[in-house]
Amino acid sequence: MNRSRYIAFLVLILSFFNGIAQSALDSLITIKNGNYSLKPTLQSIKNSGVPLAFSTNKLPDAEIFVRKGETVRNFLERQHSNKIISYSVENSQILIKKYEPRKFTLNGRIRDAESNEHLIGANIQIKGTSLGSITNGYGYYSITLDEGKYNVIISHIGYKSLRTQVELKSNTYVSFSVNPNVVRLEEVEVSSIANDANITSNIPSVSRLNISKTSILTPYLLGEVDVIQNSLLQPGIKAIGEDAGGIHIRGGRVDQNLILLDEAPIYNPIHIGQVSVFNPEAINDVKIFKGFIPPAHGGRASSVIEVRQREGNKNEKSFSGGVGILSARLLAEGPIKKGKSSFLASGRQSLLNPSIESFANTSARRQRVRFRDINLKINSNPNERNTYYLSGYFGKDRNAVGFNSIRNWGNTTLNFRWNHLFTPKLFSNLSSFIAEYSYKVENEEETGTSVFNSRIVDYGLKSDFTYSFNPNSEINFGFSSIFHRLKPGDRETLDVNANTSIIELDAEHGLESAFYVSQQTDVGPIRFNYGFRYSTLHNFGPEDVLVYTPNFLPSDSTIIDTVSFSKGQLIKFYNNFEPRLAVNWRIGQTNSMKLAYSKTAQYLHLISNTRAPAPTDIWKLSDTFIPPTTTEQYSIGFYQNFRQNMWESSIELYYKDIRKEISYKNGADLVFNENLETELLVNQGRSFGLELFLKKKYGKFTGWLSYTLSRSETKFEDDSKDAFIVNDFDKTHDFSTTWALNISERVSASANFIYSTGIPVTLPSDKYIFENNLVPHFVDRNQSRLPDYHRLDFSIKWKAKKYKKDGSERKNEDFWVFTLYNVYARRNVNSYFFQESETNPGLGEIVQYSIFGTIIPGITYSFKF
Amino acid sequence: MKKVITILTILITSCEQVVVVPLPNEQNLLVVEGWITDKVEHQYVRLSRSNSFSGSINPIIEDATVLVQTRNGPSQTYAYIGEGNYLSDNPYQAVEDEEYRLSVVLQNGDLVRSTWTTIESITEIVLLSVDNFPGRDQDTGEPKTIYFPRITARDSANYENFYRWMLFKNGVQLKEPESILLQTDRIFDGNFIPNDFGDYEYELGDLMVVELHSITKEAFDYLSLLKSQTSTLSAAASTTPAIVNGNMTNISKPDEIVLGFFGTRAVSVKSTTVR
Repeated sequence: MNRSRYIAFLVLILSFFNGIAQSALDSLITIKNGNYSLKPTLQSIKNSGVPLAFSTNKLPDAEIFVRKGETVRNFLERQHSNKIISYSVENSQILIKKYEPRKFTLNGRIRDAESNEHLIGANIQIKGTSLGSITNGYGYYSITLDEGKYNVIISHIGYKSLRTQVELKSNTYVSFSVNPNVVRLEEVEVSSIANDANITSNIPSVSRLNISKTSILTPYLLGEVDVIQNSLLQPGIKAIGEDAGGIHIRGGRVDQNLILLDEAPIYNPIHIGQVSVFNPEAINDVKIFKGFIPPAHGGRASSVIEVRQREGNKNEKSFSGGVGILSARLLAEGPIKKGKSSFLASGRQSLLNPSIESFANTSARRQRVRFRDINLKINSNPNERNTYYLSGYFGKDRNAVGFNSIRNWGNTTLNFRWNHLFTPKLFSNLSSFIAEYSYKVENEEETGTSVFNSRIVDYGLKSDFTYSFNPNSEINFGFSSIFHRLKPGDRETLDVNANTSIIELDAEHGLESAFYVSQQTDVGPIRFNYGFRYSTLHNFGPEDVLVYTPNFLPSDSTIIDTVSFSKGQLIKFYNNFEPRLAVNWRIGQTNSMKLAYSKTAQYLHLISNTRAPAPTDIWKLSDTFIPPTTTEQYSIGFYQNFRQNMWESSIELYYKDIRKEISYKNGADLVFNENLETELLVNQGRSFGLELFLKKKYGKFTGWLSYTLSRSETKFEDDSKDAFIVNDFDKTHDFSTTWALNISERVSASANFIYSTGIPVTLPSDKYIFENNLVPHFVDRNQSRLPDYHRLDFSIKWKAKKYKKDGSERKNEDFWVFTLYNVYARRNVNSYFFQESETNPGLGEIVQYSIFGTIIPGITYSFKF
Repeated sequence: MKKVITILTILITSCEQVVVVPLPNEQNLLVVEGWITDKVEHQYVRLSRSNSFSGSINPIIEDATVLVQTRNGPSQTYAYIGEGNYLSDNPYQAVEDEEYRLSVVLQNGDLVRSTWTTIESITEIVLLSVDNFPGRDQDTGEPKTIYFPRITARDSANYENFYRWMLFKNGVQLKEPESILLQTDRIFDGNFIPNDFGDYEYELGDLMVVELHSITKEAFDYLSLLKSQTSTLSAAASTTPAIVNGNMTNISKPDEIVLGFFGTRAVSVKSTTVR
């Protein structure tokens, strides 16, 4: 008999016996009413033909009341609720044991009482115990407990705590609604979720930005609030300069951050300078995983930035918006079916030309910039078991550079998700998405008028499951599959006289798949989160792949053949096993120590040979010549809270080993290059650092201090010196502090101060003349630094009066924010230019360039009604 | 809901200022600049040395022995004429199917050589015409007509061509907005070579000279790198600083960097006076 038949047979037999025992439970007690001893009573029930099984010496000597004519089930249930015995049906027998509480699962969602929006990262705590749970990315929680009555405390930053009682007699679904503490205004606060989540969470090194729920406001330049900007005030997160949008997390490169908007990837998160594509009005939650990357995530080497859009208000319609110097925004939300489904739609449009470069004095650098964002979200929660989400983001940028070139670019994502509760203990999320990043350059230069198009499109399917065994153990597993279609470039001509040809570079096709399993479990005071992710990349045709002379670097002169792959034919396969481990040791009530190890693999690379990425850089899949980048990160941290969690502090150390990072040869020709492999170099990188963080979370005066001591460097394989060279974005010391003070109910003020070591710069040793051009000659790369950077910003928020002149309460809320950027007008050096002196031709001069030479005021007005 | 929204006028002034920064020690490297053309003429080579970036004018080399060798023919000797320049003793031209190499012997006996190079076949400018558009004077802002060259030239098909343009106004090379103008036929193979020199302004009466150089891939790569290292350095959007490697080697001291380039160019010239 084969194995599966055998198992089927066994199941049949067992269910047959189970049936016998179940029917026995329904037989009636024939003993007369009265008080008896437990053991003889059970024996006489057994003697009457009911298949009871028990060992007398393990049962208590209790006196019980017997009621004639009741079913055996009722009889046993009564004894259980009197905490005398427990019973279970196994095989053909009814097993009687000494009383043990039964376990049930309490599950459900935590919502905002006003809008019914699901709350992410809200805390549910069982009073008087250390048991608790945190809602996942869909506001869902699950906690398995002994039967009984419990006092439950629901808490979430920016909300009033809710205390309530729950009786658990069976698996129970309860949704809790909590009331916001403060009026929702679009401010960003970086905070941990629950009061001591920084200690209890077993994922180290997470920066979380809670938008719209708090009292700290840290508006950026011109009064705008921006999530990417605000993340820079956190330890371990840096940008190369004020004109560079990409962020570097723990020494990683800008393309090594997986940026997810409602689970769909965003390939270019930047509009201009440091203004991100995330309209703060439409964003609910931002989580940045700097150290440990949960196995559910992968595909980038350095970090994960998870951005979630807000859900619309399920109870009532509302509008909010604002106008600043940079942009205007408007958001509408409301129920579709009251209490069950809602919509949210928001738009943002740039107003004044926000480009820093627009103020440049040379016309060649002058830019005219416009951008627009549209965010949409519909969600429906028809019943307890199912929730559906449809969300979309549509961004568009238009940027005119110099005289004759116009660049258009934008991200588009569309995402459908389905949350389903199979059982109270098994939660699932199925997500399917389309994400696109495309750009178009219209050129009208001396080389002819043309249009250049490039795009990357992802079709993704992802499924995640969470199974909670008991309050101390949970398993996560799932798979994801993304089909990448890259059109690196095609060029059409618009100039009828130009006779230029249409060029189309080969499209690339790749299937990036992964599955993962992880478990979270508590062993005494130690919480483990361990698991793995297995990821693969299949590179498919149609594509023509060049063959180069073996053992030589790919170059034009070493091409020996071309191999054509047909549609769907496998060109190259890569796979990586990515173990992940996080350990949280709760040393005491107010402190913990965390260790983490993550390995991550990256199969997509941003092709860029400039200091900071440009919107017109293209992405490239790993292929025959370009290997995946892998990173291993080790980190350790100590976390301590003080004064009832009013203060939190942490100290973290990390070391990151980055293998097969892609960079480019000097003067690499990356435009319209069909053989990019001839221009690339594969390097080894590493970074390490120390991060300190101290934060005051409550009170009139709140804020934090953040300090990073770090180094990030690369070893170039073509470099004969075989030494690590510090990366362009490295800053040895990086200090920032931000504080907010609530002056009165209507007025609050905030300030931040930033200090960092200047970024590395390569200085010329020599100059020479070639054909009347003065050429700087550089010796060693990044051996000097720009002067240190420091800046103080100040802002004040002024809320409009809450009451009208006649004493009645106003329906609308509105407020003004005034900001001063670079308060003491420091001319921070952004870069050096090495050029020929205009006054003394033939001599070189170094020109220091500062983006901001003065104090910059800003103002925004926001409203909600 | 109506609200009057006032926006403060803001003043953002970016600023540039000349600074003095301590620099790495100067290297005093040999710099070679030389081209041979497809025209029978005295060809030139210029020899100088690099010096401190913030230092004085580059020193020139007056006492080297300069020679251009050919694979299958006689060598051409050069003589010093001043300001670092050496001219061939006899007029000669680079021809197709021949290879050329520059050899320089320095005063200290070091032998410095280029790689062997060939010359590309010429692509002729068929027609130079003058176009114009109504513009404004850059200094005064007064309206004026701006004249610029429009060139008709056809690329040869099925062959990878590399081009360099040079524009002259009254005998002086125009270096603004770009001094090194490069093009490959990647996007117009076999068609007319697209060009739009509207940013290179001429006025009535000016002598307009346009040169189209057909150069080798090596020369093109060298000039591209040179251009990236001289025009856009250091802003966030710029390329990273690098050594501009050419095709010269110090045979006697292979570890010593020799800067510059020796190459060939097939030159097509057209000129006209703007009327």
